[in-house]
Amino acid sequence: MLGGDRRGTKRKLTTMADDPDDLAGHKTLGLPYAAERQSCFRISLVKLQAAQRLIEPSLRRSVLICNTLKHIEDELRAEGNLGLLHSAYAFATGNTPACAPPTPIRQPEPMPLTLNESAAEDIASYIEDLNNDSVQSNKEERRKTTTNKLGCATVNQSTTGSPTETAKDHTPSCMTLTNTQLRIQSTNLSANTAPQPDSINLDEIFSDLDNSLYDLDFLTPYTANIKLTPLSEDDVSNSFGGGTATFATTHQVTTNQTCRQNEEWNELDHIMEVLVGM
Amino acid sequence: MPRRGEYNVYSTFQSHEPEFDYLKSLEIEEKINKIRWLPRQNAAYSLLSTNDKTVKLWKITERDKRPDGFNLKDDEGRIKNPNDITALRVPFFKPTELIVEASPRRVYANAHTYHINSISLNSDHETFLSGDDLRINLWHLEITDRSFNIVDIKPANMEELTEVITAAEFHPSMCNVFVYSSSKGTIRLCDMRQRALCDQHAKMFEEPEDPSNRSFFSEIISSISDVKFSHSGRYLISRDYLSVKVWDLQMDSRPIETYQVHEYLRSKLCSLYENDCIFDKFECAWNGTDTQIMTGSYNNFFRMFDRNTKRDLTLEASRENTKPKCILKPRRVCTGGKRKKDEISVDSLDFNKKILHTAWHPTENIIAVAATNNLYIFQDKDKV
Repeated sequence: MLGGDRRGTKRKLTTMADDPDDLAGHKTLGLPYAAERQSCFRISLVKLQAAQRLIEPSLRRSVLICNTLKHIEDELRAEGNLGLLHSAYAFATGNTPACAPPTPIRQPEPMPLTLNESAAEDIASYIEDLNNDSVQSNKEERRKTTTNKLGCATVNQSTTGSPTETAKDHTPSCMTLTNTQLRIQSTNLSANTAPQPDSINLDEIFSDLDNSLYDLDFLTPYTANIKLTPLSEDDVSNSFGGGTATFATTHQVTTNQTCRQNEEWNELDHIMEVLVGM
Repeated sequence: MPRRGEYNVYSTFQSHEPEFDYLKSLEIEEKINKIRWLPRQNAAYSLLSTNDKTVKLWKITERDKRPDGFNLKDDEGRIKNPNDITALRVPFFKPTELIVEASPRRVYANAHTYHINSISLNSDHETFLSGDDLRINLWHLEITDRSFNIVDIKPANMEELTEVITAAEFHPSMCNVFVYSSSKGTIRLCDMRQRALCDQHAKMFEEPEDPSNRSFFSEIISSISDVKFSHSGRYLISRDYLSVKVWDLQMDSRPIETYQVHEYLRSKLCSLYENDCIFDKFECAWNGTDTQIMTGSYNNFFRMFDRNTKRDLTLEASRENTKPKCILKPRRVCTGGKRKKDEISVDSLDFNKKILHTAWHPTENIIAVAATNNLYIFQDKDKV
């Protein structure tokens, strides 16, 4: 451990074992090159996201981290290891708290945040590729792949930031990532729940609506089974204002819920009361 | 010049205060990034100091006497009744205890969008440059409301940004020449006579990468943290994360000398990246005769390289060996195999104790080394 024991530990002779993966000629962690690259990639993403939360991140640091990420991306792309890249992104973003407090709108200059948008776009495009692949394959496979690849991501869904935040122009890249990630989760999860014969197909009803403008945070207890995208502002207010039956019916029909949903419903009721001012 | 090995603080003053930028809703730290002395023209000392956004010119003056013996005022300073005055006397200067006063003479503000990392006085002693991450501005010492932009590497689309400016310095004798270094390990020499905006360099100093040392961190460790001209103006040194390189201005293809500061860290780069140490910015310094180079490292170690004998030295700035006139013992870092007595292993190094700032007296063999919150001043043992 670096800097750990000041008393001086007894050093054992370290040998650099030959490793066919060790393209660089040396290992920095004693791990194979690929594992180390993955680790470096993950650390870089975490650092970038952490930097984005600062009000004024160091430009030099952000640029260097970004370039390191791009370098690894290029290497993976050159090796044709896009699958690794996807899992690395999914793993990295799944592990990090993607929900960050809304950042104040900043003036266009300086814009250390936008610098990362290209990286974010790369990330987003890779994940969209993943999404497209999922859509094209049949439902069975889709369900399988989504469980595998987004297993960890789904767990964090309730903590992901609201899509509202991601719609702003000057959003940090981590927010953009969250939005894309969220869309994919929604898409794939709806694929999971869609084939229920007597359920109302929300996808068809609300496919033309864009959820990105609305703060749907308070709906998160339900999002595990309902696609976030289709609910418009009108639908939400109608659901609550015009009687709880509408929403509850829809909800109950499309999900196999336990009594947990009643508690959440009460909570939601309470929230709505606060919002509406009753 | 005290030769006892002990120093007292001469003066302390607050150069910058924290400010709040209401437009961007962020606080501008009062932390000083760079200090540069101006050559003395009279009894006062002058220096330029800068934080992230504002450069200030300070004048430090001594006062060890005060006027006394006034006719219209008594010894306590109270106005005398003119009718009580019976004789005239000539006021005189009475010695008092030394008072050192610092007063801000100029404030050069509102010219930098990004964080200032360098200031450098020109050899004409009339102008200076201030450099931030993307731009370098030229100022006249007397004019505070205007500066000229001489380098601008900001891309039209910030998403295309891949390189920032890390340091800039004027040539010690050619007032039209300056250099700036980048996060990609390049040093660009610019001539202000060529054109007003020096985006095109006259020379670019860059060493081709060694393919056997390539890693994910190659770019980060190539980022230059400091660049200094030699006193002669013939050479310059650049400090990157692991080494100090000496460049001949006549040859831009590769450095003429390379000194490894702590090569044993090369196998630890991943950990150093994780704990952010890889982003530390170390300064470097020449001695007065351009024969020795000094730079800092971790564990409160600093390194000195003799260009003639090719010998290097590692010393430690710590309280254990700071008794006056105590001779510093050379330190050694064990890089492999069995650790000898008095050697320190790489894993035992304290990476929180970093020596980022070092300075060498321009003519004497006296050095100043900053170790966290302590300043150490060492001098050549022969001088005592």
